[in-house]
Amino acid sequence: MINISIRSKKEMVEELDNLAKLEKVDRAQLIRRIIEKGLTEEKLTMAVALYQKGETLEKAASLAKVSLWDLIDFLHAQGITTQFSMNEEKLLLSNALRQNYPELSKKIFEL
Amino acid sequence: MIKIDACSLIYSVKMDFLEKVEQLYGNLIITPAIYDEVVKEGIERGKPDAFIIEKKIQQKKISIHQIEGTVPDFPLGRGEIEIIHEALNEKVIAFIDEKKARVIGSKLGLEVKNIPLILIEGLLTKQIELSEFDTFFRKWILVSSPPQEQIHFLTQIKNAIIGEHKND
Repeated sequence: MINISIRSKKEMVEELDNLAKLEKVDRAQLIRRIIEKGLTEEKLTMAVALYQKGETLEKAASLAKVSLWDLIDFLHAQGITTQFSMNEEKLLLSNALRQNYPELSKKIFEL
Repeated sequence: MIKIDACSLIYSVKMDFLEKVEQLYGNLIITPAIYDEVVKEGIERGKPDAFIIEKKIQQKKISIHQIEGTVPDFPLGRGEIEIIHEALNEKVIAFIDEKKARVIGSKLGLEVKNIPLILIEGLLTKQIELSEFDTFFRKWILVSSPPQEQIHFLTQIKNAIIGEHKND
């Protein structure tokens, strides 16, 4: 492990010590756990930001080094909807249905 | 045969849709990058659905194809690039739900399908019953969090199809 040192407000150290005492762990252990938890959430938040800027979910997960499974679950939990373009969706469906269902294919653009 | 990307694979397994896709298109093909991202990582993180996919690989319902040639450098995830590259090489359908990847694939002349299109085509060909469609559609909404605009649009298409079926 690598040692890092940070400067902190006295009140925060008191809160950490209180929590560590209640959980019967030492301060360093507690801080490590809090950082790990915070880091995971920070990475997921970054992945969401990348996704909202136009990256695909897979690319965003890879850049932020989070699991695609976790990113999909996180988006769902945050109520963030998937990228959608009505024009692109209409084109995709209309082109796919043109040959066998020409009337429906045309109708799609009226919906 | 259909090549499936990582997000479509995750959504499909979560909405119990993989078996239906197998019925409609035969063997599902993934690439090594998709295996790593979805199955290996999912199993490492204890995701129950990743074990279901692994079982399907063992049952040879899902196959992993190695990549032939040099993959292009699209601004996409590794798995999406591999799927587009392989589907183009083998002239087969790519199953991609990610909008950006789908647009890039379509511009390259690839036949691309997403979950809504597979559901609609299944309903039209009667390979998916209306009650099945409704069940899958509800599950798709739950797992993939689509915007209301898309849900409304697809519901209108479904209603148009039902209207036409009634006139048959």
